[in-house]
Amino acid sequence: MAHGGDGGSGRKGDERTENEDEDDEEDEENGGRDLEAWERAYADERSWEDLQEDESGLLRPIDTKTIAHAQYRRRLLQRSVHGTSRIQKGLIRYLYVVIDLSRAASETDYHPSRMSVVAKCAGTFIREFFDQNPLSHVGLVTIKDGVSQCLTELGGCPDSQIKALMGKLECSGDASLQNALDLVHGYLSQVPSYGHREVLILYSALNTCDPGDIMETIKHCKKAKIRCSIVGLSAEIYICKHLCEETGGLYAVALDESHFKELLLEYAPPPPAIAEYAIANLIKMGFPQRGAEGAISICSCHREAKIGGGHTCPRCKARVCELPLECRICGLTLVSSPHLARSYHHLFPVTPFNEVSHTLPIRLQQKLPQNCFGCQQSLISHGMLFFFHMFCIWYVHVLSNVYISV
Amino acid sequence: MSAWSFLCECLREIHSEERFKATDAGRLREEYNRLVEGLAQRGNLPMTDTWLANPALPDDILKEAVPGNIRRAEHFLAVLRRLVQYLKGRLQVESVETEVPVAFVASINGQAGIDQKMLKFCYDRLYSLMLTLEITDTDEFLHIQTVCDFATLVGTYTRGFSIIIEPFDERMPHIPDPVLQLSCHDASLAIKPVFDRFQSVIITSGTLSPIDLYPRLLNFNPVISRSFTMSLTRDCICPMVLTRGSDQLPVSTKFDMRSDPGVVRNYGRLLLEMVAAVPDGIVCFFVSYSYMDGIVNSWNEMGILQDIMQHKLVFIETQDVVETTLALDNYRRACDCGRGAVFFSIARGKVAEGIDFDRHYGRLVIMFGVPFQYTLSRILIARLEYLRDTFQIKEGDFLTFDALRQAAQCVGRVIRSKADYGMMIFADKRYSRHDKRSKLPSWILSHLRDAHLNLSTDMALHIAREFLRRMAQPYDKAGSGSKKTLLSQEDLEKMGQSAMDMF
Repeated sequence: MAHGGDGGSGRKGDERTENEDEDDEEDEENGGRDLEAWERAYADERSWEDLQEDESGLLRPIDTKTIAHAQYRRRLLQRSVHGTSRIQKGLIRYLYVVIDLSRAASETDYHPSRMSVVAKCAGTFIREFFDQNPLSHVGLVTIKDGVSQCLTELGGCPDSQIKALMGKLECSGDASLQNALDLVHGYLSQVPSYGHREVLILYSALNTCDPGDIMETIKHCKKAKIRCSIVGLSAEIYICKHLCEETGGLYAVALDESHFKELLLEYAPPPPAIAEYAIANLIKMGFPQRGAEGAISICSCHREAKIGGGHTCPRCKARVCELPLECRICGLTLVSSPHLARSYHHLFPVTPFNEVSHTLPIRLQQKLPQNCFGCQQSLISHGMLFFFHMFCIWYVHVLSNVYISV
Repeated sequence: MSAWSFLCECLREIHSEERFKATDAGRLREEYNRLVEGLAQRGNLPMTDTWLANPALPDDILKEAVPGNIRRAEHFLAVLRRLVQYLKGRLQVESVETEVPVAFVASINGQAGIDQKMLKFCYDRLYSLMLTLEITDTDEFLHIQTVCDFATLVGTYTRGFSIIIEPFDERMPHIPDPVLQLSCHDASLAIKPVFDRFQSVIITSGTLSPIDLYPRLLNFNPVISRSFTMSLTRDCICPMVLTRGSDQLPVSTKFDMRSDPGVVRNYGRLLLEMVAAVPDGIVCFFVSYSYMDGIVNSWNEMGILQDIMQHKLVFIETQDVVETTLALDNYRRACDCGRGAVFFSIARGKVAEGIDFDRHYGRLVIMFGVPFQYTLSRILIARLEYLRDTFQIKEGDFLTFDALRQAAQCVGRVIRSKADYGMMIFADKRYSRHDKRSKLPSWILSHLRDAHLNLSTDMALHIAREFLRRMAQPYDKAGSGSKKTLLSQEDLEKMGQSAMDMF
């Protein structure tokens, strides 16, 4: 179990590193990195903002990679600090992502527009969210023309959510925070009591045109234990801050696209549990078996015959394509053991790996292996000696423990 | 109330005083005896804070005996009646008159037979009379009290004041509306009792700049004069000087430019861009009511006002206090509930003097134009002359000083603590001139970067967006390193220690 768990976290960590620095530059990954600054398309890179002046007055590019890496380390450390204090966490989350598609979302201070940046980052977030919270559910709500609409119901499949979002990208009218909260409040009051109710609002507008008293709505949300968090795109708004403070959520304002994404991803790991929910609860779950190769069965999620693969619900024997989800037929929550293990990891996180730069004393360096134990690649890379190597984090973790004992 | 009906009211009050008097002959007798003995009532009183209640009168008035010819109540009332009649006569002038107190007193003496000493004691004598008659409803006699105050001031001060009689309002020259004003030009008269009474006086304010002008205006020699910057944890104020509109043409409220439709439109565009980029509350200050009326009217016709209202609600300060209070209240509510609001206000108005727009109630303040005083006002002209003759302060210097002080006062409304943040836009090309700008207080100047001195609307918008994003980030409230602003016990002890070491 321990091994499995570590392995899971290793994969996760590795994915996240990718997410951090390289995800949206995947196409650049293969060679774009080597291009000189003037060869790259600067239209949406804004490379002139990445300049800083050094002591002698020379302009130098800011090493964004180092900064991003430092931030990532900081976040890991933070999480492990939380982890050691053994805070109970809400692992089963029911999250509504509210996307503001009012007039303000068409502004172009983010490139190409706020709306498309929000949609792109929301997509990344939803994937990351399911990766970290396999037992949770997400739904999408949009605000447009002063009213809010439910785009997708609560569900466990990232692809359908993202697809639904991308198909609906147009913006107009005013934003109304109150309408969105009322709608979400209505939906979330129906979820099971063990689930954590959360709203994440991606708010482009700077005001809210409400039909009634928003303070009342905030009180209702607080009473219903809905944790409201907001990520603003342009400036701090008093009512948003008030809402987040009242309901125990986080409020943040993005500086630019990368910061926005970083902020969003901070909402992916599960938050500390609210005291009222901290009582132990029993939840019925099924662990379906993988269907045999070549067996033909009718899939309950796509309503068509499929050959091989898929999973069979242990209660009603229906075939489902993907895990985790709720069985369409009998409503049983279907998961696999790695999902549980992955969630479990939020409660007992892996201690962070130690990073060693090559300025280390020779004596110590010699003690350490020069190659990664897992993949045999040299650990002495061009810039730094990373102790966690891309593909074998699990091993390096063990190694770092060795190092600590040295 | 016009001056005329005011004086009629005075006569009525004198009349009712006589009625009182008739019923209280006994008490009046006593009073007369007391006055004859030369015991002015307050001469016997223990030293209290009466000097604060009446700082403008020198001590000798309060102690000296009342002159014989107004000691009797009926004589005094007759004097008052003559005085009021005289003032009535003076109000029937055709053109504006400006007179110094000496000439005015001489003219009273000639026409109404009231000499300077009698005038000087009017206030005291009326006070004594009202005490004697045990009049509790002092509001009834407000008007005659005002006349007596006036008489005493005119009789007491020969310098630093002037009397200005205007037969009509300049905006409406056909309607007679005579106003008689006693205008004080010398601020040092008011502060003098404070200097006389106390050994050490410390004057502090956020808008004492340029600091070297105050000692001259208040007529004293400062032992120490210092101008401090603010100790801020982060750069939480962002002053900007906007000189050009979005079409790169200069903007100003200079007299020959203010009615130019291009300037009006540029100001409108500025506000429109800002309401779309700044959350919650925005405060705008205009140089005068008439200018605000004009520009808001033009914006309405151009459709700019409607566009503004898509983003934020608009509230306007009026001369009516109740209406303004209501507008302010609703403005705050609109800021609280997230709708966002703009408040249009007047530099030198009630709101500019006393209402704070801290936190989300004011994230941005725009000062449209330089709030110069109305330079054709007689009072201002008289005061400028006096300052030039007495303190050798140039007219231009004083006007600029006064305007910039008002501007600083207005923009300072937006920030009230270091946890707060706010932007200030000085929207007039004249602010970019060094002689104007250097008169701003140093806490503003120290944050006014060179790059922000000559902005156009689009540049200001960009800076505003950046600033608001930066300020929305979480920060260390106590500060760290050299920017430490929240001192702990240890820090204080360390500072005390190092101070001790120095001596």
